[in-house]
Amino acid sequence: MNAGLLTSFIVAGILIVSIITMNNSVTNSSSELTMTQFTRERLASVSQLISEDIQKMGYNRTGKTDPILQVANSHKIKFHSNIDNSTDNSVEVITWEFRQDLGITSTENKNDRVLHRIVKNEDGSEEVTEIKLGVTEFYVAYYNDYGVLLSDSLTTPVDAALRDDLKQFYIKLKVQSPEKIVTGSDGSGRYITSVWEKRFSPPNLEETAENN
Amino acid sequence: MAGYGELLQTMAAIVIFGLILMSANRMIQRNTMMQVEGELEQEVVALAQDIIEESRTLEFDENSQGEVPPTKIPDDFTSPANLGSDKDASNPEVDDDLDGDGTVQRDEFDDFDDYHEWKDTLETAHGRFFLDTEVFYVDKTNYEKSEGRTTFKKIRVNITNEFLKKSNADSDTEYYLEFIRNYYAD
Repeated sequence: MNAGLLTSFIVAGILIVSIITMNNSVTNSSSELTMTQFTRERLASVSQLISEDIQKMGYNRTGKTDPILQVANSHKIKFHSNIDNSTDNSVEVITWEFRQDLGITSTENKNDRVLHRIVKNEDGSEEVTEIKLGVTEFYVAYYNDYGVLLSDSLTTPVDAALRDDLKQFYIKLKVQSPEKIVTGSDGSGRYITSVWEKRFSPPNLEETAENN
Repeated sequence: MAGYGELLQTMAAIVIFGLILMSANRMIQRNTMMQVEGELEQEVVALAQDIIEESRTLEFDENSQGEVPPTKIPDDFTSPANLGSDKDASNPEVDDDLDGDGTVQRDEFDDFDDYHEWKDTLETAHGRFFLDTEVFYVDKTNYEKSEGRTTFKKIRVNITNEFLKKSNADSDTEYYLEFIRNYYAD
């Protein structure tokens, strides 16, 4: 075999390896982008649901609910609201709870947990929604009228004086992809993470004189 | 020259592949930038919203903090030229510099317009964000900047980040988030 042909074989070999590497990079980048979109969509769905519930905290058609807040800690919040705007003024109790003890077994990700949304109707019936969309963190903090952080874990049931002080909530939600994006040749990788944070000032908490 | 034809063809293939590779690299880079930008923009919104919500909890004006509202509204409010945090060591009731260190920090603000001309760098899990806020009176008919006192104030939060650049320039993208507050709606 002559030198020219041999060199061309070697160069062609390098070329093929490069093509394979490039193909892997493009595929990884594509899957990362798709997974990012997917994670953000999931995050948006959950955050929208939380925002709608929190803004309606303490709402009733003819005034405010009494009490408004029942449980307020860093992973659980329970409040009253006429969430379905029913004409009979019936008030539901809404609970958002991040179950740190309840992992999602159907995904590869070991960090995701079940986020519960429970609506308890006046007749005692409960509608439980198990949110299994890759939530890895759900954190709530509470602020007073002056924007000062009260605590992230208030006594249960929430003390009346604290209830009057409480005006704002800060919620942080972290969602991760169900599967890893492989970045290393040994199969190692990372989960795509998306974070949503928001500080709420529910309108029904702004004036407390009517609440008690 | 036997075999060198193949070598030339392989070299040509490398050139073609190089062009494809450059294009693929650009695509990967753009994808990564989009992901990073999306995540950072979410943080920008969260930070601005946090400041806006915090400012809402404070009094509308330095002169509306007493138990009795000002006699003349809006004439008794702070003049547009004096908006911002108040430093007057001779008058402790007005002075916002509670710890006496010569600067008024965010946790010392006590009214809505104290955020005027406030600049800060916020450290987050997503890196550093540079903040510049402005508060001014707005006309109640068109919500545009007013030279005189009105019962409406607008806060404009400007946030930049070193990784959020304009598409064809080295300059930072500036994000503005605004909120209008009405004295009578408090």
